Amino acid sequence: MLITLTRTFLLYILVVLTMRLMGKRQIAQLEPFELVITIIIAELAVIPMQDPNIPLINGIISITTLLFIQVTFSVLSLRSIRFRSFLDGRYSLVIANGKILEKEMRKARYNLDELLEQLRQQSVFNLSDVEFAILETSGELSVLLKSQKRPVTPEDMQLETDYEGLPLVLIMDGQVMTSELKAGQLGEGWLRAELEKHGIKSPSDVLIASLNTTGDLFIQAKEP
Amino acid sequence: MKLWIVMCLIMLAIVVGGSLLERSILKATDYLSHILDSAKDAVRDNQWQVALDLRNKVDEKWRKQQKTWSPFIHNSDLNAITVSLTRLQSFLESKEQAHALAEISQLEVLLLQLHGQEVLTLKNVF
Repeated sequence: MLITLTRTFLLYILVVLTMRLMGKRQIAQLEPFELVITIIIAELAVIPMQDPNIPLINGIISITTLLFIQVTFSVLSLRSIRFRSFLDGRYSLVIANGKILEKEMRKARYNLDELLEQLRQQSVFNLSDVEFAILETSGELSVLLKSQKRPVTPEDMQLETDYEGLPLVLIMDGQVMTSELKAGQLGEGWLRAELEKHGIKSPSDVLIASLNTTGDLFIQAKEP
Repeated sequence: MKLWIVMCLIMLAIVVGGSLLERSILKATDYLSHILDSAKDAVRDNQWQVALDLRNKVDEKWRKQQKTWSPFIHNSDLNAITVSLTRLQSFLESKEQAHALAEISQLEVLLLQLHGQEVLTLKNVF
């Protein structure tokens, strides 16, 4: 029992580390070859976990080899467009100039129900609003609406807008984010003074505190 | 790119380690088979003490190798040889010639299989 426990623990760490090294994409965003590798890694970890007779090194070598293949393919994909299109395939243009391209749909084995469903997921309920739709290699649909149907932007209205950067999260779960404070060229003294203004004695009493680029400090205290 | 270089080094270590393991298995199994051949001759000549000494020599070497190989080779393959060596000891002590010879032959086959399984061949790959 203890052997299984230890082996499971070690393999779990290895799988987490492998997935972490493979990149930050979510399952839905994985390219076909990445999805295959992910599934195989999970299977490979389970076999030596269940059977203590199988040397742990067998699982470790298999998982490491798959990671090596994945990293190598990613490096090659970065360097060669031909290799990338071989590995990931090419996107399919399913709607062009407002017209559904049946031939492309058939080639991608993509039916109208799927097209309408993915359009609805992007809040497009009227097919005639679509100028272009591209079925990406990850299976996601990218949609370009007709110019008259696109939401109005400040640029369309010729309105001036202020710069908006990323807000700085200064306190999270009662912990002061010193790197964020440094990035905003702020000190802990300033932060404590700001907290006192809001009637909070210590950063440990704060659930979250963030500062936006216009200088507004948002503070939410922890529930008592 | 840094990760890829690290991965290449790890893969190189695996390939080198695998080759060293394969060589170690070949060397050890050859040595053990050679001693077992001598033990077989001793059994045929009814030299039971000599055969028992040779068996003990194989056992000693095997225990050392088993420790080294156990992290890399399927445990049931290693256990089969240990069990066979124990059985051989009993047959030699009770001077059962037919059984002892059969056990030595089985041991030779097991050692041959052990090496055969670890060699990189098309047969093993497929």
